[in-house]
Amino acid sequence: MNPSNRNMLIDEDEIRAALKPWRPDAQDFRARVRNRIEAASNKVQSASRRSTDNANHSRHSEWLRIAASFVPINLLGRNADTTIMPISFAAISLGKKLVVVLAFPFLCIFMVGLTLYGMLRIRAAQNGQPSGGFDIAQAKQVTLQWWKRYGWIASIVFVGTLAAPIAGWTTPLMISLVCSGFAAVSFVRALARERLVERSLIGGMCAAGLGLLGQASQSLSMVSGTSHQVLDPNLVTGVLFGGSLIISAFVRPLAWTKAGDMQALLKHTRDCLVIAIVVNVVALAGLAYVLASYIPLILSAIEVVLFVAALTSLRARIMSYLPRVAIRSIYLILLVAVCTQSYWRGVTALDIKKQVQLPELGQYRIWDQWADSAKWLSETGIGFDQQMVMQRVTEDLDRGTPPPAWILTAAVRSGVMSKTELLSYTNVQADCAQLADPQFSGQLLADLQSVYFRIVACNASGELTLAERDTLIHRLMVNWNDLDSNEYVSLGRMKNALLLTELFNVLDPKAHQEQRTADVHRWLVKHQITRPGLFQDGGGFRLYDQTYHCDRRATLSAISLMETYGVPAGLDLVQLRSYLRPNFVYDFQPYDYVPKTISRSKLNQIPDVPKLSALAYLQTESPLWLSILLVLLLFYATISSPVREEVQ
Amino acid sequence: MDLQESIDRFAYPLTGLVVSWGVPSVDAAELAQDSLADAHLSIATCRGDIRDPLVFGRWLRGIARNKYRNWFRSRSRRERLAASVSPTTLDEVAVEPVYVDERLSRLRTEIERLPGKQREVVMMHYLDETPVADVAALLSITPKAVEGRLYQARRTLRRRMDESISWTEVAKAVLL
Repeated sequence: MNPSNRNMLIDEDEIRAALKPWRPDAQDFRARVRNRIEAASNKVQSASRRSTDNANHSRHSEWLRIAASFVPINLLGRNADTTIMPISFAAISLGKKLVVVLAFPFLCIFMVGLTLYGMLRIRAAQNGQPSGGFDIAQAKQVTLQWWKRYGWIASIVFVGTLAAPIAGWTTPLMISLVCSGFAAVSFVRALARERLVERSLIGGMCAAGLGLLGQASQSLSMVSGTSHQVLDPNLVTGVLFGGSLIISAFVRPLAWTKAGDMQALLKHTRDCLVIAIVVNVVALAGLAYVLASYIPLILSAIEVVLFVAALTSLRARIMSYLPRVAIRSIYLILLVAVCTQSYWRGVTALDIKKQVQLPELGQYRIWDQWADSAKWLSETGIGFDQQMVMQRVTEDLDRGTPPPAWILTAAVRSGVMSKTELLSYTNVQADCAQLADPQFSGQLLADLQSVYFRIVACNASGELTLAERDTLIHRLMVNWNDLDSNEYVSLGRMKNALLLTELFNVLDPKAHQEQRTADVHRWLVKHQITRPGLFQDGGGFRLYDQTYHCDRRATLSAISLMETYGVPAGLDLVQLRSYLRPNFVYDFQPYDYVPKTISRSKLNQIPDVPKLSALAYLQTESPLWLSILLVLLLFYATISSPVREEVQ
Repeated sequence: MDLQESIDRFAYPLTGLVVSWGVPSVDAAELAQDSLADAHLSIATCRGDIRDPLVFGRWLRGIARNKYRNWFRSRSRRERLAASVSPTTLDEVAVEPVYVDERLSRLRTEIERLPGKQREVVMMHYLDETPVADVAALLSITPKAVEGRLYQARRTLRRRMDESISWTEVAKAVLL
């Protein structure tokens, strides 16, 4: 390049100087690339682990997995393995996709189709019915004959429903609902053959039948056993009772005109209703005893009063003052309000916040449980008044009950205590020397709640040497391995595993990670109760190996562990979700609703846990959809029947 | 081509290339790091002899281009987020003003105004001492073509820098 040319060009150094601010630091650049590769590799390993888990699911046939994607899980049978992982639509061949597309309307055929079929049969039966008067005596005779002919089936279904807690809630209720639909169609057809179709007669039977089913579903919802629903089971009760009220508002019972209440109510229906009420009252009393609460007793008393009022002249007296539709509307509003209160008056984060900030925190005593709630509030960003809580923590520490170590551990876990405050309560040098003494490296750390805050303080002080840190990690691992053999550790295996995990996260999150993950996955599957005993809830986690009931605290700890270690392949997420579903009958004591609400929130945030789709609701809530469709069918059967004058 | 070699060879020209597409320098460095990491992780999927800088460079540019497209798509969302940050927060995160040479600042502006192909090679070559051959490998062109574009760019820059006041600036001054 000649000098004249050079004068025509801008100096290269000048360009370099101009671009210098945009030049990244070489070392930093390299480090960042390497970090990205490392992070991506970890993600790939995790995905590989998950795909191995999925491969375990492939032990089920592909057709079974396709079925699990589209058929309500409970219809696969009581003994069906609900951990069958539904297959992805994209992962199957074209031929199978076609079959799936054709099979998809199964739900519609099963539920909507069945309802439409019933409506068509009723419509066909009602065609050609005379519009004149009808013989009520003959109608009663036909009804009795129908009961004699089919009553045994209804009795079996009804008794089966009452005995349902053995088999869980979902399947018996679905059978009852489907059988009720068939019974309604059959009854209308029986009357139609004798040209006796009349709105009051049909409506009365439908309303009574729905009331009966409502009672049964409410009893079942209290002793749910194995179930798959994720919504409050009382919604089904609300729909069935609501349907009963709506239908009864559209009919004028025969009883009011001639013979009185008791005569109109068929003997069989009355007997069934009495049995249902008795079972329900017993179940409510049992619940009141288990929950040590008077609220189920009040519900039980209201139920008995309403039932007695319905069967006695009290109802007739009230009816004389208030129009029938107004009474039904009041009942309906009350019913809807009660049965849906899990959603409009459900437990919110604000309720948990209030619990955490309780003025009588000092008497709350259960500091460990309190720490779980406070930690969740901090993690989710909801927060709470830390200053106020800290003041109470200080007061309790001064008082000395419960043991200060438990309070300090709770305060550290919840994040209310700052590093400076924590260090002021501990003798770090002595603690480091004692806990990380090499000669005790093979010994258990006794009572994790007592040493938790001391380990955190040692780490926060910065005085922990590498050797001491290794010794502490080794001792934590000794405790961890002890959990495998010693199941009766205080607070249960899940809680201890959680506390140890939190301490590992403080000292070295990667220490023995693979072993810990494998152990936790094994423990989680082992501790989940998938086959509950009689009148026991399923789906949650047990406290100890030999216990047979779900423990809400153990369940919360198990879900917290899943946040760190992921969800194991053999875990039944459907039952777990069902265990955590809202249920207003249970959710009125903080001891019950706080861990359940937190568990539900945490479970929904775990990346491995699939979000609930509309299809999932369609699958799991089949009793709710069936009850809605049954109400529609019976409503149609009622209003499509002609109103006729009775002839004696 | 191993990781170390690919970083040493293409880190700066790749960053310069992304800056020349109009990405702020901080984001450009992030995109270049992502691209290099992705290239290393999915090296098995690269067709051709990976040891050949021309093959690796073309492949790396493709990855960077895809990253840039994703960045561009999400830019409007990020701008909305940035707009929602309170002025106080912006003040808190703002760096101390740096007093820079006005001539260099103007030169940067002129570099940004260069035609695309010239801007690319200037950014890639002068951001650091990147050899012309590596720039050529990344752009899938010949080293001669790179030199030609550099020559054109430097001449354009000289001409524009020597203009005391451009007509556009005069117009701006009159209008504003």
